[in-house]
Order: sequence, then structure tokens, then C-alpha cells
Amino acid sequence: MTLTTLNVWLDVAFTTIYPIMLIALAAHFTGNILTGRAKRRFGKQWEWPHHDSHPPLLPKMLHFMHVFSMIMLGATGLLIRFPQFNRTPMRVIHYVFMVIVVANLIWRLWYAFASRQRDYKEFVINKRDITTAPKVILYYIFIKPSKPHLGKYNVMQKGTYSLFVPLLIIQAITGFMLFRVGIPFVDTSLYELAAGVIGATGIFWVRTTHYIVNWLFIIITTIHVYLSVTEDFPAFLDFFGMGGLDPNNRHGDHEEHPLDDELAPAYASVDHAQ
Amino acid sequence: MMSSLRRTRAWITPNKEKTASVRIWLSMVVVCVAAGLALPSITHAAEATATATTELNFALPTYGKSGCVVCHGDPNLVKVSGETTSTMYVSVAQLETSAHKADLCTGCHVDFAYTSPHSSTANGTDWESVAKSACSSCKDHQPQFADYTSGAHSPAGTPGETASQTAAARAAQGKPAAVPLCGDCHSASHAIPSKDDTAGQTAFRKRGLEICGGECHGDQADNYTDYYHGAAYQEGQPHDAPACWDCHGTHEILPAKDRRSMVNERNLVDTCGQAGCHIGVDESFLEYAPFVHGRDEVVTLNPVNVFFESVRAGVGGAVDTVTSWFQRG
Repeated sequence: MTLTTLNVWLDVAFTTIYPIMLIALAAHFTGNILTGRAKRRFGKQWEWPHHDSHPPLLPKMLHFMHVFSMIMLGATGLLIRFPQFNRTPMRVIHYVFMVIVVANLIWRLWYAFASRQRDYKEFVINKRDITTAPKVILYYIFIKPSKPHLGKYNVMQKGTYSLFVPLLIIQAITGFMLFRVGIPFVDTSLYELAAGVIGATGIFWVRTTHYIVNWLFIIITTIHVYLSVTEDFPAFLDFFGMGGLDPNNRHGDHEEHPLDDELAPAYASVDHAQ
Repeated sequence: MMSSLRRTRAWITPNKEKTASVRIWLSMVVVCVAAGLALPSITHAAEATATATTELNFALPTYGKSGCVVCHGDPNLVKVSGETTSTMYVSVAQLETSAHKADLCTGCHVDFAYTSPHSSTANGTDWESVAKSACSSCKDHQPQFADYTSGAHSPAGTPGETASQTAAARAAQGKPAAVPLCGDCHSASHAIPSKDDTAGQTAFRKRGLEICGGECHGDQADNYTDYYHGAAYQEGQPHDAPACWDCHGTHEILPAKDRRSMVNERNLVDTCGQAGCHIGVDESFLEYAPFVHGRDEVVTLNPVNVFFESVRAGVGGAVDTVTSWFQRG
């Protein structure tokens, strides 16, 4: 398969998968309605998963910046590949949010691994996550009425959020390799340096990789937004500064686990929002 | 009575003299004012005659040797030929910003000097063709004209061909019988931008598909839709994507099968790797080249798209059939 045919296949695949995914999400929400989950959550019962604490302010702010930047990057990225009007402003916007996202990533990694509140353990998939993974999946496909509650995130969330880090790193590296803006005081650009090493064909592969990862982000983010709203709407509102999250609410579609009664670890119990 | 007449004469005579004197003074003032007003024009005309090739004021009837703008500066000037009405208006403002602002009208319209009316040129040559190929008579454009005549757009056609054979060959290929002349691409609307006119050069680049597509390469203009070249260019971003001539050459434009052509396989590495384009181009990169004008075809032939198209046609057919039942009933 030639590069060009591959690119057409990628367009066809992603522009087919995305609408199918939207239909699947609509079908899933129908499942929520049919099983009564939607009524229990969005109705008078307002039954949502409980939280040990308010999400800390800093990651919440980083998350907000990240979401907005990723939406802008995804949209401008597609408009650079499929121009509908002048690409130059799209590139400028893309570059601006690229800087924000990279800075955000570095900041979040520092927060996760090096700050006083380091919360990387919340994202680590442990043995119990793996053993309970089938139950989580069965819950999402409406076979089980509840899912095991082992921590702040379930195994699918941990996997997805952890996947974001390598994908972001890949996207940052490939993005910088396509960055044509000149380096100050040096008569070259990262693109020229990269192309000088890997050649035009290599750059084409880099561009193709960047495009694939862009679509992965668009798909994952869409699913993430859907599940955030339907599975934990108070947390969704809270993440956007609209309140609604009550750490004392102990209701929800999760099985009470013996560990629930244990003291939450320090990284999880510090309420940074206070 | 006599004394009365004397008084009257005495009164009239000095007044008559006074009136005449006033008239003389007024006349002198008028002459001086007129001279003052006319002086710049006279000076300008004198200067203009001396520097006729560098400065041009079409507003002056005696200037430019032909004074074309006396008539052609009128926006209402039209030529009616059968059912076609064409404007004969020449915008002085447009001319003043063009690369040829210092040239005389007769510099390009070579057969029109002093002829009036000029429905045809003196030797019967099509005046438009004469004007559009007048660049050849300027020494500044000799290299470009030499390139042009050695390319595929040469009026001479293939070496050894007669003019009629060339016309027939072009007609057989679905092209206009006449080859494109300088003015066909470089605008015959008197607005050829100078090299310093960035906006004009940009506007010219934007017209690439119109210039090359038009009556000649319409298919290639339409299928110039690949991601990073055609799609961007089609959206009117002339400096963000290559215009036709960036890959196909400017004046010595040759068919792809010609080994000298910029888009011939043997030259594609250089063409794709020219300054401002791709870096590190090698043979493997050239597999993209057919895609520049071939993306639409690849998209159309993609099996998934073929499937969707057949489903769409099937659903459309079914809807039409069901609709027709109700129409019958």
C-alpha cells in the first residue's frame, strides 16, 4: 500500500468510524434509559458515584486547559489537512495551543510524579483492577447493574488516561517535527532539521502518524465526554467549576468494597479545592 | 442743448477710455492666470515628450502619441459585435499600478498608432493577438519569450508542423485552436502587476486555475485537490500551496512525457525539492506525485466509498420506487 492510498484509507476509516461511534454512544445512552440508569441519575434521585473528596484545584485547572486546547488542536488539525479556508490562521491557532498543551503535559507530569500531592498512583493499573476489569466491562454493557469501586478511577479510565501520556508525547514530537516556524536567531526550523535527517518521505510518515493520533484523540475525547456526562455528571460539572459534586454522597452504581471503608490514601484525601 | 451734449461727451469719453482700460487690464490678468494654469501642463508635456518611455499621463490628449485614453478612458465605451457587447474601457488607475505604467499604449498595441477608427489593424492581423504577444518585442522579455516558444505552448507547435496542422492537432486534443499567448496568461486587462506589487502578484497566483484551467486544462484544474497542494490552493491560499507553474514551469512548459519537463519522472526529485518546498526528497517520496492530480480518483475507487456509494444509490432507488407507487395511486 502506498503512502497516498494509506492516507485515503485513513480518511475513509476515521470518517466512517467516528459516525459509527456516535451512533454507538447514542445506542448506549438508550441502554441507560431502558435500564433506568438515566432516570436514577438525571431524575429526582440524582444518584451518582460517590467521591472521597473534591478534585484538587490544580489538576482541575490543567484538565480544563487541556480539554479546551485539545478541542482546538483537533479542529484546527483537521482544517489544516482538509482546508476549508485560509490555513494560515489555523496553523497559528494550532501552534498556540500546541505550546499550551505541551506546557500542560509537563506541568501535569510534574504534578503527578514530583509535586507534594503526586497522584500518579491513582492512574496505576494494579492486579485488582485487572481481575475486576470484566465486571467493569459488563457494567458498561448493561449486563451487571454495578461496577466495583476500587479507587478514584476504574480500570478503563486508568488505561485511557494513561494512554493519553504516550499519545501526547508522540503528538508533541511529531508536531515539532512538522513545525515550520523558524527558530529565533538560527536560520532554520525544527521541520528543516527533521527533514534533513529523515527526508521528505520520513516527514510524510510523521505527518501521517500525527494525523492518526489526532483522530485517536478526537475519538477518545468524545467517548470521555460522553461517559463523564452520563456516568458522573456532578464530577463533570465540578471539573468545569460549576459545582454539583458532593463528597458525602455515598450512593451510586458501585459495589461497596471492603477497601471503601479504609482510610483514603493521602494523595486522594487532600481536598485542594477547600 | 450744445452745452448739454458737451457735458455728456465729456462725461462719456473719459468713461469709455476708463472702461477700455479696465478691459485691457482684465484681459491681461486673464491671460496671466491662464498662462499660469497652463504652464504646468505645458512644462509637463515638454518633460513628457523628453521622457516618454518612463512617465505617462493618459489624461493628456496629446500625450502618449496616440491619446488613446481620450476615448478608452470612458467607462461607457463599448464595442457591439452581433449580440456581444464588450467594454473597451481602459482604467488609467489600473494602468498606473501595473508593471507597464511607463509604456505607451502603442508599445503593446503596435499596429494602432495614429489609426482611427481601428476596427482592424493595418495588415489585417487580429489586434488582440498582436497585443497579447507584443511582449516579444520588448528586450526585457526576450528570455521568457524564447522559453515560451520552445515549450508546449509555442505557436509553432511541433517542429515541422504547419500552423493549420498545429491547430488541427490542438482541436483533436480538445484544446482551443489558438495557442495561449503571453497576454492570455499574464492578463490582457492592462493590470500586469510589477514585481514589487505584492498584492498584484498574489492576485495573479490566485488565478492559476483560472489561467491554466479555463478553456485548456480544466480537468487538471478540477482534480488538483490533494491534501497539501491542491486542496489548499483551491481555497485561495496562493502562497501556502503551489500554483500550477511552480511544478509545471513558467514559460517553457512541456508535457510530462518530455524528458526536459519539470514533471517528467526524471526531474521530479528536483521539482519537489525546489526551494521552499520539500527537503530531503528521494525516489521513494515520488510515489506521492500521481496523487497531486489523482486523489479524487483514489477516493472514488476506495472500496468503502464504493460500498457507501452503492448503498446510497440503492437506498435512493428504493425511495424513488416507493415514491413512484404513491404517485401512481
